[in-house]
Amino acid sequence: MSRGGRRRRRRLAAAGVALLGMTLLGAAAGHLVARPPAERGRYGIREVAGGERLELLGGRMDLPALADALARDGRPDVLARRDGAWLLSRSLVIRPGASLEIDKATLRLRSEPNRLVGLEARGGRLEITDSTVTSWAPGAARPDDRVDDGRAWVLARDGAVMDVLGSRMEQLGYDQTERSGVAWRTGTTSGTIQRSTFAGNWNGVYLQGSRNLRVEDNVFRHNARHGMVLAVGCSNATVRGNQSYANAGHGMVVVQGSNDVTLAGNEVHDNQQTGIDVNNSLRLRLTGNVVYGNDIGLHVRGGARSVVAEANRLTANRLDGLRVSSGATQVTASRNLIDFNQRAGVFIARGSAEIGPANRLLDNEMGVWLSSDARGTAVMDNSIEANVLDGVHLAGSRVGLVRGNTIRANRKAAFSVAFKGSARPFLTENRVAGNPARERVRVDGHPKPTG
Amino acid sequence: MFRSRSRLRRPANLALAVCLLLAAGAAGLVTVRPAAAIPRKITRLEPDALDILRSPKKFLRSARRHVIVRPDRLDLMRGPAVVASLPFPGRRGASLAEVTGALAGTPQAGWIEETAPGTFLLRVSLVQAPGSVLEVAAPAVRQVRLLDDPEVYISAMGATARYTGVTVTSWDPGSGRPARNQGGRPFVEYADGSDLRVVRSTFAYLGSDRSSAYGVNWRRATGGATDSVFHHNFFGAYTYQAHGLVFRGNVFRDNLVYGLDPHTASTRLVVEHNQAFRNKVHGIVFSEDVTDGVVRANRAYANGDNGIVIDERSDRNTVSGNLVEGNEGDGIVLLGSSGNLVRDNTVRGNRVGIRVNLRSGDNRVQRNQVTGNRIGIELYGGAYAVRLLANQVGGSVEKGIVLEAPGATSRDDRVTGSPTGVEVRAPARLRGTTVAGADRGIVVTDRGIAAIDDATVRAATAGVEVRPGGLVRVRTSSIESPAPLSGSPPRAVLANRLTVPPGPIPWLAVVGVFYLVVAIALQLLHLSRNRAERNLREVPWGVARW
Repeated sequence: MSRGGRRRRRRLAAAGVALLGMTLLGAAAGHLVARPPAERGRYGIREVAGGERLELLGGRMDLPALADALARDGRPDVLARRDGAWLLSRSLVIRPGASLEIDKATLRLRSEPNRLVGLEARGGRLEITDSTVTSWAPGAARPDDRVDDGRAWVLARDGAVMDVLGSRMEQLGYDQTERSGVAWRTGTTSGTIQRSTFAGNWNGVYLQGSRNLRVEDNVFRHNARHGMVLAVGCSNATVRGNQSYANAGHGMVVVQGSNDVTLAGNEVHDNQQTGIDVNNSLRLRLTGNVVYGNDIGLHVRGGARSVVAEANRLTANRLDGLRVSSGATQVTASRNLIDFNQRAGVFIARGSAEIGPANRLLDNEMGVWLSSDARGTAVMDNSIEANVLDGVHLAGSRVGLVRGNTIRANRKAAFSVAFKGSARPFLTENRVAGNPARERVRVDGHPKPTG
Repeated sequence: MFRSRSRLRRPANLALAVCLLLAAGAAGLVTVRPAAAIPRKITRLEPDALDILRSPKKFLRSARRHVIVRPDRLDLMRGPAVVASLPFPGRRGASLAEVTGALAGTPQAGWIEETAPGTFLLRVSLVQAPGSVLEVAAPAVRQVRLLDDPEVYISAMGATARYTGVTVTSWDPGSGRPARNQGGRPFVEYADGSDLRVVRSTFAYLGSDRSSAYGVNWRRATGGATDSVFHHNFFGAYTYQAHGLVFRGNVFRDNLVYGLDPHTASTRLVVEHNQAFRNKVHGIVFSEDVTDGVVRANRAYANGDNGIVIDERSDRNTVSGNLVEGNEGDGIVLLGSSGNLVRDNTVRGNRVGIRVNLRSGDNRVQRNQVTGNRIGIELYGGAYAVRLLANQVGGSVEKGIVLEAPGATSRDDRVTGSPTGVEVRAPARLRGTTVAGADRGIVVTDRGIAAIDDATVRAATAGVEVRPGGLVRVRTSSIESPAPLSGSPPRAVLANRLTVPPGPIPWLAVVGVFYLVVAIALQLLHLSRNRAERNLREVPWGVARW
């Protein structure tokens, strides 16, 4: 190679290195702009009933900065670092104008029967990123797993912003309002909950009154009550891509006027009560959820209205796949696969619903159960097949409209009825084939779903 | 005249076609369904076999004859009327020979007759009244023949009987042999507090499809049978609301429907060390609320349908240590029954080895050896929460284990040598499952939801195959296959060891590489030979100077 050629190559290499360096510097600068370093904030320690409380009053702090400040002021006992984790021994309140960052840290909240520590954002900002926050019983040197004598908690309220991103929030809360685990309360409080795990809490997450929340890609598991609760006007929330399982209560709850909520692509399974419990809320849309192994898959009740369930999988629940009760109305279910439920695929106990089109109700004990209080319900254009007993049960003489369905290969009958002849109007309006009987009167000895 | 163009109209061609069909059937090319249950047409004997004790008035229009053994006498009755009453020690355990002897001097001597030494022909019904005890035992009695008449039977209420070393059959005097079933054969029924014990005896060619007249019936009775044979009955032996019966060491064979049929709320039965074979339908069947029993160490084989069946709310039974093989239907079947334990059985050569379906919950299937069935273990159609543990399933023709029961678990099961190891069609959990020698290890179908932990899979085609719509999590598993995870991507994978075994040697590639190596070697050789000239720079570098 000529000398000139070598020079050109060297210049090109130098230019490449310079470009790479500039890119890295630019990226770093951008990062710094997005996340400026913690600054010294103002705080105070206030005497309250039962002891002291640490309050952040202004500025933006992180745990090391706060610990340094406390140590300089002679109070290293409030926040101490041990075994690579921070132990908070006084309740900490973040007031408006103050901000606390917990980033890539493990924070333990002291949790003893006579000293329960709360981490509370009351108007301030709390950011928990890539961190672990647990209760902590110093005597046992492990998280506090007893809820009967109280337990440390995390709370945001009064317009606070609390973000939980990529973090683990475990063994928190007990059976008391505002201390139920990790809670967002009051109307103007907000935040983002993403990629985090809420395990072993009283309620995994309790969201009350907050609007426009996004709850995405989280895991709610093994909580003592419900996995995730949207309550009291928690409207316009989007709950997407989460898992909620093995909770002692419901997997997900939408209750008390939590309207216009979207639940999409969640996997809710093996909870002791209902998978998704919708109670007294309006205009909900549930789509693409997989709900299995619960008592009831999706329960719409208590005056809930305009609930749309589309393209969900409701399977293998111990009772019903979809249950509509206690006066819920305008429930629409279409394109769902509802199978292997151990009582009814769809059970309309009291209320009205439009079941169809294109639901597939397969291998349930009963395909559809229409109780005598299901007037106004229409079951249309579905596949109701291979159910263990009957395709459709009519518990009253005029309980709804059943039309255009394929009712096939159910193992006892296409219709079971409480009153002989109740199915007669529907026999010609559906494609009925391959059932041992077209109608049978359900006899004693078969389990009957209760209200 | 119209002439058919069909070649089958020609007799020779028709015969040929029939022969071909038969040959195909014999060769297994034509699917032959396993014997279905015989269509039942149950009738009823009126008045029934106990009415002569309960309400003789029902016989006002009947001339049916009975010999009634009472604790203190024999009553000989025609219809409702006593035609003779003979003193008789019926309380102390009299023999059938003594009954016959008591009749000897009376005009009714022919009602029961000793036709040869130890052989007794009953031309009328023999009924034991409450408190009576009857011994039917060798050597005094060797054969008891019940005349083939719809109104001949042996029955009892609140009585005790011991049959030891005897043969009891129906009898057709015309042919001089036991009767064929024409709908009203004689039968034996011990009922309502009776205690019937059968030892080293044979009951054969009895019963037909009449309610409680199926063969040998324990109806609300106790006792059992030991080392005896029940064959060519309608049901070999039948129980109804009987508790604590013991059937040990018997043979139930060649019966027209079932071998042994404990039925309707019979509880706490012990069925052990029996053989049930060549029965037209099932070998041993518990049906309708037959609970808390034990079926242990029996052999059920070559039955027309299933080997052992636990049916219709027959809950909390234990089926253990049995050998169940070569039945035309399935081996062990749980139908609509819950809380049963199926353990340590050997089940081979049936259609399905162990099957659970129809609203059957919380059954446990443990440590069974299930080999050479079309499907090893199949859970479906209303079964739920079935727990499989440590079963060895080998050589299944189609599938090792099929899980279509929501909430089913498979723990430490081992499946070898079947095209599909485990097929998951509904939510199920697999932990510690081993699949080896399968084409496809674990298949999760479109409606399957599987959590697979600690599995070990070696499969020739696919390790874990997920069909579109299926949902699976695979954790801490070892999967060796050309496609360890195939089909739709799992919802989650964690700490698995996925191994793709080395394939066959790619000869074409090897030859190509060899060619390349030789070419390079030749070029290097050439370069080394021309090194001396290279420094001259007379020609461009690398160009040979030939």
